[in-house]
Amino acid sequence: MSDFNVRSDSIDVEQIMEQIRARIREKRGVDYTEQQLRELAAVKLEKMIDPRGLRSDLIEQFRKRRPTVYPPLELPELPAFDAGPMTPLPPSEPLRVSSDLMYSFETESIYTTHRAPLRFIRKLLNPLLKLLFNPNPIIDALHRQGRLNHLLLEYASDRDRRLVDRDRDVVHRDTQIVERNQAIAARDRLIVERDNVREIERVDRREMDALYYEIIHNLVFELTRLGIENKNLTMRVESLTGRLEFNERRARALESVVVYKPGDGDAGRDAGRPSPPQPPPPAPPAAAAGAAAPSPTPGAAEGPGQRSRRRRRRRGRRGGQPAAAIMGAPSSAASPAPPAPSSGSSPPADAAAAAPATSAPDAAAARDAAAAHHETAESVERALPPEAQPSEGGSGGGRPPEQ
Amino acid sequence: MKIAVVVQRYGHAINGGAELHARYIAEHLARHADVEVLTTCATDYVTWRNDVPPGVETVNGVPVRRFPVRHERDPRTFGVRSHHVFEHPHSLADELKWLDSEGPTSPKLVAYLRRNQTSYEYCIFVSYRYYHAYHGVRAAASRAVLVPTAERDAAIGLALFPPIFRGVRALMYNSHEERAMIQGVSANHDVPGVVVGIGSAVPSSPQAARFRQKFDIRGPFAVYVGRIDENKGCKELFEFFKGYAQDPASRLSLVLIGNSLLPIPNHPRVHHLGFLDDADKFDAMAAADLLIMPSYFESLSMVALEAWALGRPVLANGRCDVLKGQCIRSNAGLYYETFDEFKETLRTIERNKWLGPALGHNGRQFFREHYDWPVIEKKYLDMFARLSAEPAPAAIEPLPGWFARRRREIRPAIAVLAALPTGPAVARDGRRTA
Repeated sequence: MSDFNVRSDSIDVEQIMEQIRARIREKRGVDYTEQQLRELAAVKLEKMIDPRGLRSDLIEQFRKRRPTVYPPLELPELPAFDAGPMTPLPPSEPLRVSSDLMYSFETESIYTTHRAPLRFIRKLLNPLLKLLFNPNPIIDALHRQGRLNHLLLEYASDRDRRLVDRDRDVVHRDTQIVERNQAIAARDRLIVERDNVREIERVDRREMDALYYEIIHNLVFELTRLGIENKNLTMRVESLTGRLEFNERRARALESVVVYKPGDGDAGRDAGRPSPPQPPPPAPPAAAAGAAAPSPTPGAAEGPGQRSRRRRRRRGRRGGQPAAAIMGAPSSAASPAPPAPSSGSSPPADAAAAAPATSAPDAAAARDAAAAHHETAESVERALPPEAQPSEGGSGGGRPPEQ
Repeated sequence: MKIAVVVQRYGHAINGGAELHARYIAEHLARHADVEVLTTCATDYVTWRNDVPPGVETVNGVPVRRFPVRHERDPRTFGVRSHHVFEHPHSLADELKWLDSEGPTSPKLVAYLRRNQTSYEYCIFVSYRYYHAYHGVRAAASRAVLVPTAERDAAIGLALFPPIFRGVRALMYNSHEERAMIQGVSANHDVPGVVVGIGSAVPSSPQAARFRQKFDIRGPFAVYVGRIDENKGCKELFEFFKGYAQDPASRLSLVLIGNSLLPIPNHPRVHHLGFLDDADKFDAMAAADLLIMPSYFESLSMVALEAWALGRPVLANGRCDVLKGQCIRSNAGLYYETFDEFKETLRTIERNKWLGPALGHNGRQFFREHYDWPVIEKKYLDMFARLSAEPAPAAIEPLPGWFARRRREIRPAIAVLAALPTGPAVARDGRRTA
């Protein structure tokens, strides 16, 4: 945590608070918010690959739980809503007033009668009546009221007629709406059924997904395990290859010792012939061995010629000469007619071994070379660790004679 | 010079902030003047029940004259009226009813004051919001010196009080923020006023080790001293501290001192010691690494001043303007407004070992310069001398008439409060300002 850059002798609380707030702002830039932390805390951790979680009956369950395929649900078509536009109100018709309701109130109406003498008397006394009161306003009012009644009656009858027409249209429209609602309800029921089927499908799908997940999980696990085993096997193969090469090298070294073990020329000549197995010679006394054996220090017994021969032998081994080729060289000397396939790349030791068969006048030189090689082989044998020493089963070395 | 200190409650066992403030003033001014305390028979600030008999008694050498309270407070009525006047348009009559229901309603105290005001040269009224202060100031306005102890709550927005703030002879403020708030609500710039605050009887050599041994408190800890109440911000403090304690690098514990009205969290690093006497309290503060003041509303935190007097830093609630202003002016405390700030400030004090003593050093200096008792006493005496030299102002504004008092044209108190200036007074007193 970074400390403050405020010296104790000059504390400024506001400066400290600014630094604290700046630090809070920095942290907020890095930290998760409370909401993010809650979301992270709510995440369920994936299970680690655990071989114990493998189910042996997984395939069976997978086969059982094949997703059910439901046929698509056919939804009926809704009936067409052909209510059409609302019928417009017809224009108002001219007033048609029935004759019994039609009346007119005129000035003379108050005197009207079918009796002529009475009409005359009324006319005659009319000035007296007008003397008593003025009937004109009453006559005028009744006249206006009569006209107004006509107008209102006509208007009401016309509006009633139009309202009846409109109600008829509304009833027709409501009927169509009811029919459509019934159709919608039927469609909704089907949709609910379809949703139920889909819900079942979803549940099936979820279960299948769980199985898929488990299969993938198991596959990942198996792949991981196989990868580890593959790597392990590769390493083992490399290790065995290394051991095999080492053993081959050791075998070549030992076989060369077996081939050139005889100390005299006859032994060298007879080395390639089949011979019955002989019991191992008694161990020489230490003093005799010390007298007969060359010096344990290689440098003391080796001359420049020996070193060059050893170098040539190493070159021969590096050339990939298999042990069988080396072993085959004496037998080819015993029957020289079919040359060995590897004779073309035979090392100089092979040439020395084959010398008695090819050129008799050079036998003395070959014996010298064999004696020298014998010394070299003994020195190699001594140089090998005890556990690498071959158990000598016969006088000729560890290789049994060919039958 | 005879001085009356008028306060709602008074006594040894009464530890409310304003009441303690009044007692300290009375006892210290008694060295310079003839002081008499006028108070009620109540000791419980919730019910104002008459717990002690009326009459005259002596408390720490100061005569105390007690008057009975006419009726106890009805919490339901008080709540309804508070809601009405705080949040709805109302009339002055509604506010008077609210004041009557708040209490302590002691007409006898007011009547005594009206009859005997000439016996006192000055009457120091403590806590503007109570019945005794409002009616007492109106009864003896020409001698009234008001210690408002005003907090930033809705009561300051009532229309009752601006005439009081304008009508007294002088105001002894607790903080710069309080003065700015009262001047903002009443425009009483012409009334003499001074920021005084209050001192504290802090022992010179508290025994921190004794406290740790007595209460088996180990390791670093922060201390809270006071009533453990939601109104004091303790609930938020508990939540914040529990969040802070989740930090594995933190070692700080929280020690709570005071009577609790809240359930104390069952946390291994939260220790509730209950109410302690002054010796243990000061020992605890001396042993603490810091004091936490989570209160939202304070006119003056005496506990914070005591912590500073003991050289301890303070972590205050930054939403309280007074506390924040004191922290800034003193350079002796940090403040927080959110959990992040609480966590970071507390961690800063805990991890930067040099910071706490440095803040405490500033706090001690701040206390000595402004809140030591000789300084406080001198400010009071200087104010009395100034008032003696000045002519008495005109009479206090009378109450409106019967119909005007019932006119519902007063804004809700919270609306008035919202319009008041906020934030700490950034002009530092102390060394930077006079």
